[in-house]
Amino acid sequence: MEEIKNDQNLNIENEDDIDLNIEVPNIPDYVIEIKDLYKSYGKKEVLKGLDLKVKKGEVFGYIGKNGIGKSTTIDCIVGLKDYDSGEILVLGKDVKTQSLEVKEQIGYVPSEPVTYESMTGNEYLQFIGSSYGMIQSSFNKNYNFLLKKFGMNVIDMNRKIKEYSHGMKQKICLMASLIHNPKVWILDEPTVGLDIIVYEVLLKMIKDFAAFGKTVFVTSHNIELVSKVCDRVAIINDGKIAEIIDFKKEPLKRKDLNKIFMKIYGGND
Amino acid sequence: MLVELVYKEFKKEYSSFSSNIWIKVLKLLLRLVFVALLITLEVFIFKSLDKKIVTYSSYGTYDFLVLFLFLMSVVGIVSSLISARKIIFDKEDARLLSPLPISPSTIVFSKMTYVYVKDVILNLVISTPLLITFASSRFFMPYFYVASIIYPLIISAFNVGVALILVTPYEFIYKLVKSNDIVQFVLASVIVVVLCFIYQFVLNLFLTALNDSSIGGMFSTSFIESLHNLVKYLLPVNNFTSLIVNKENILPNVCIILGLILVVLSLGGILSTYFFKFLNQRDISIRRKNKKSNIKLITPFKALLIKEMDLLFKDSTYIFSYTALLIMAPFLSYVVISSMNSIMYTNLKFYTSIFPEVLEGINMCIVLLFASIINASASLSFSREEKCIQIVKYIPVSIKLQLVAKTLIPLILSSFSLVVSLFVLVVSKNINVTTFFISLIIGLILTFFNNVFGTYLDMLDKGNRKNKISYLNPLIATVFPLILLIIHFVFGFMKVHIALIYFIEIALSLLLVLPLIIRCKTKYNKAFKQMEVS
Repeated sequence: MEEIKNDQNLNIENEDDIDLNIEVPNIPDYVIEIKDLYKSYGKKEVLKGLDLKVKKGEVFGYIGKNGIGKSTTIDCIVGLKDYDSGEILVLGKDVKTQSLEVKEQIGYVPSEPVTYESMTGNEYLQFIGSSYGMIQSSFNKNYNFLLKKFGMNVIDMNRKIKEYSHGMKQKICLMASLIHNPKVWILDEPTVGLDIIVYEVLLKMIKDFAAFGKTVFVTSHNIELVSKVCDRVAIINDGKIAEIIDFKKEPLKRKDLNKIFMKIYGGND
Repeated sequence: MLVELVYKEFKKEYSSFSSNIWIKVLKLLLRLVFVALLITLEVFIFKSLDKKIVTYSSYGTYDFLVLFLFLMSVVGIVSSLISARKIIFDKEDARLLSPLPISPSTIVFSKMTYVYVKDVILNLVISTPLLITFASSRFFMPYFYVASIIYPLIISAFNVGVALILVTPYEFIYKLVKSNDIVQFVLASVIVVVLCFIYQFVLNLFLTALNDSSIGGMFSTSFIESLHNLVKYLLPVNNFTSLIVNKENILPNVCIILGLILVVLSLGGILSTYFFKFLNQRDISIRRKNKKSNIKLITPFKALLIKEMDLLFKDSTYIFSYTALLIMAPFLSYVVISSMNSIMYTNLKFYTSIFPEVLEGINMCIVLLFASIINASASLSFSREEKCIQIVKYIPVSIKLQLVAKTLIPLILSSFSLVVSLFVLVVSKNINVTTFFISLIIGLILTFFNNVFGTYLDMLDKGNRKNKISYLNPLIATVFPLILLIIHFVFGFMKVHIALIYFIEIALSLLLVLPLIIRCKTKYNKAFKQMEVS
């Protein structure tokens, strides 16, 4: 816990008010390991022995057509859903038996912005910061940094979230996911409803986040986003990983990601 | 285009209805049964009053008819106002309609038509039966019955016109109240107090009817005289009834009715069209101060407690269904128990001699019923989260801490309300000291049970279950006090010592809680983890 407390400052960018000298300590080679994962809803089997490994410091894209199990996989990693069998390790810790330790290291952005809408933006971030047991100074630094990054002003932060537009709610979710400076950033369809400026900020933040040895796991329908920022991409089909593309080894495939995607689904999305 | 727009409003209103034809038929039948029962009750009460008042005054019933119709007109204006605000200042609807080649006046007119049709239906169900009942007992001519059916078409035009004049100020007040939590809470409490007084008034009316000794109370001669003087000011209802019942001043009355309707409809139409354009294009939310943020972090447990308070106090559903009722519970208990004691002492003395403990049993049952039913509504603490249940599951806070935070606030509030209710009753000598203590012990056990069991069932329901079971908690909350009453009743009849009866009742309450405590950690952890979030 002490290690976490000392590592709560966001060290993403060369900002004056951010402590840049914090290393990411003792992270295993594979940040997320999914082994033989099964998950069904009633009789419908969604994940059928899924295996996946996400490396430290990479931006990992996870794509597939609608209803194929992308969000279910994320929900199982984050602890929103219980899975039938298999194993999920985050930073070497089992999400079922060491759930609190795992949750402390994850920043999660849901596909739809979900917040307590009767709270103001500030109250919501206070709730999240307090829940993660943050120390005040780290919170203040990260808060100011994120406020600037996402272009939110003090007036907005003192308004109730129910008065926000969809894009602003998405920004608050992004801020809440990063306020405790997680080691793993999991984003489920993060670009829906974002304006072009915040979209570009998000792309840069994803890249910077990974540049500091942290890991990003992102699902998106936006193939352009995935091909732009990801180091590796996994395509899921029929409850398993159909293909993993490593853009570092095969950089030309960035342009062909759309075609590969269509080929796997027989030309139908 | 107008027809399509009106159709759209109805479609929107009833879009949540099931697509299953059998469920639709069932719902329709239930509605018809409800309406039939309402009309029967209304006609019965009106006829009973008519019989009583006629003996005191020849014009009394006519005045009451005008008063009832006027009150119905007020209800129509209020319900039209609520509907009109909802649909005229619907930003989402305005956003969808604004790019279409439809003028704002057509949009507002379609919404006016929709509100008008709803009000006509309301008046057909409530006002027309009153007029027909009045006429049937006086053998009026057939034209009166035709006028009774035409009446809703005329009065609804007036109601909608007034509602449209008031809709813009109402929208401003609504926004103001919505943006201020304290104002919202105070207003909710005031509404509940008013409802309590209405409830007490109806209860007294019922008691007067039950006693049937004299017309007494509100039906005094002086009251009827005052009402008679008031009736001439109840426009335009008085003009209409005067026209068809008394056939007096036909031309002036027709002119007053049509003139009033024309004025309110024109004014309402113009104002609402203007503000429809104006307000839907601007953000009318209240400006907030640009104050410097100074966010102080707190412990996770404190943060959870504040969040729970937020959910209970800032959600308008819970402000009415739980928080305000909780505050009013002592008053409600007092009103009901004092009335009940009065009935028992004056009318059922014979039975109290056979079942000496029954009165205390009834009093205890009522207090427990109020406490547990109000409390049961607060126990759906995971459903209360709605989509935010995601947050509950991904924050790194232990399950135990989350469950304690979820149950603690309603437990404290409900217990406090119970203590105050019992204290009020014992001070006003409606219950004795023994009943006070026994009710307190059982009430606290039941409050604990409601909160913990309700939360557990709520978690199970979220665990991807096909058959929902959280209804069991309010069911037990209702049935258990009745079981205690039966025990009191039966053992009292068998002349069992009262101390033993109380002992059995406390033991039974503890037995209810026991399964919740056994292996609770494993059970609750499992239920929490199995909650499915989508």
